[in-house]
Amino acid sequence: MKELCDAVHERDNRPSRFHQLFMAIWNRQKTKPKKKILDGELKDKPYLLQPQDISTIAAALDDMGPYGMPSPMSLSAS
Amino acid sequence: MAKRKPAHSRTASKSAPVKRQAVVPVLNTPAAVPSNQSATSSEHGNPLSSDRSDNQSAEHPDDDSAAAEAPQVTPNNAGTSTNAEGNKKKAKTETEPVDSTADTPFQQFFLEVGRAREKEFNSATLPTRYGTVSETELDAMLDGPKDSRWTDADEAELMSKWNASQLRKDIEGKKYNSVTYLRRFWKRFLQFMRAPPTDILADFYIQIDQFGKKDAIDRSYSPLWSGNLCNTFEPLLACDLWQGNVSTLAMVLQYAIIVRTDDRRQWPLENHAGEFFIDYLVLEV
Repeated sequence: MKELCDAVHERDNRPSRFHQLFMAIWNRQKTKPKKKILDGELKDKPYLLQPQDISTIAAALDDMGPYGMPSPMSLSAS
Repeated sequence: MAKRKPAHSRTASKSAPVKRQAVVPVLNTPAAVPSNQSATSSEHGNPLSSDRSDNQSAEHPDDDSAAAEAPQVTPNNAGTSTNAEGNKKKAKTETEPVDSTADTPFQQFFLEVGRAREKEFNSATLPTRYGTVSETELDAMLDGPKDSRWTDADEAELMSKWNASQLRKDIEGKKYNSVTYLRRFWKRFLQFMRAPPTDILADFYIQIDQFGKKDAIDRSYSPLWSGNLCNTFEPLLACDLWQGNVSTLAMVLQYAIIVRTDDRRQWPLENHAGEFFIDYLVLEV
């Protein structure tokens, strides 16, 4: 997935916030032990969302810099 | 030709007519501002905090200025506004926040203009994007799809199943009412995404695996999400990257799951964000 994202980024050299986010998520998740899920396996199984995935996204947004993660103040205003 | 007075003495003398004050509402010098009054956060870097103040004022248009900004009236300012007591509007104008970093009245004036423009922009956009969800809007969000093939018998069967379900008892029971974090999370989600949180599960092939242990009911499909999940999820909703679009948020959630589980299956990806990067990714995946 990382190679794919890099290839896409290389083709179109403009910076994208989504590319930054995807790379940050990749960097956060890559150290975790994995077992490949290949095409054909777990067919029609949904994506299993765990709280740690959301924490990872939050941390990745933090990695992106000041404009990645919203300020808690902006949330408390609502 | 008369010698031009320095800025301090011009504003300090305050013999200018009331009309002029209305055009340039705040002409306070740095010396006139108490030292403990720093500039508002909107001028210093964090644009999100300026959103906050404007968002607040958009939601509570009546209580924004008088209470919060009253302490910033300087004696200098108060003394010169002769008819300020009789005119509430003018009093509001004169108690605008003062920027202590503005060295000259001209700088102050341009800061005021910028602030007014920002306020105008936010008042035009924020309420429509993140305003409180009205009851009719909520009904439309929660309403199922209208389909001619869905008969009254189908509806009756579904309702009888729902009435007999354990899930309904849990939701309507004491347990649900005491879960304040869940209520808050739902409110925030509806407000920011304009859709119920369950849309993530239904439309984007995502299932919540929040406990990993057996419970009285199958919590995976339950809307009774855990406190840990809700509290972690809640700050994410305010991120402007999703553009208030639940599809974009779901895409990023899917990506995080795919990377964690090293899922090599085909990813049914669509570009809901209008982002060129996603367009290229769709072609490659």
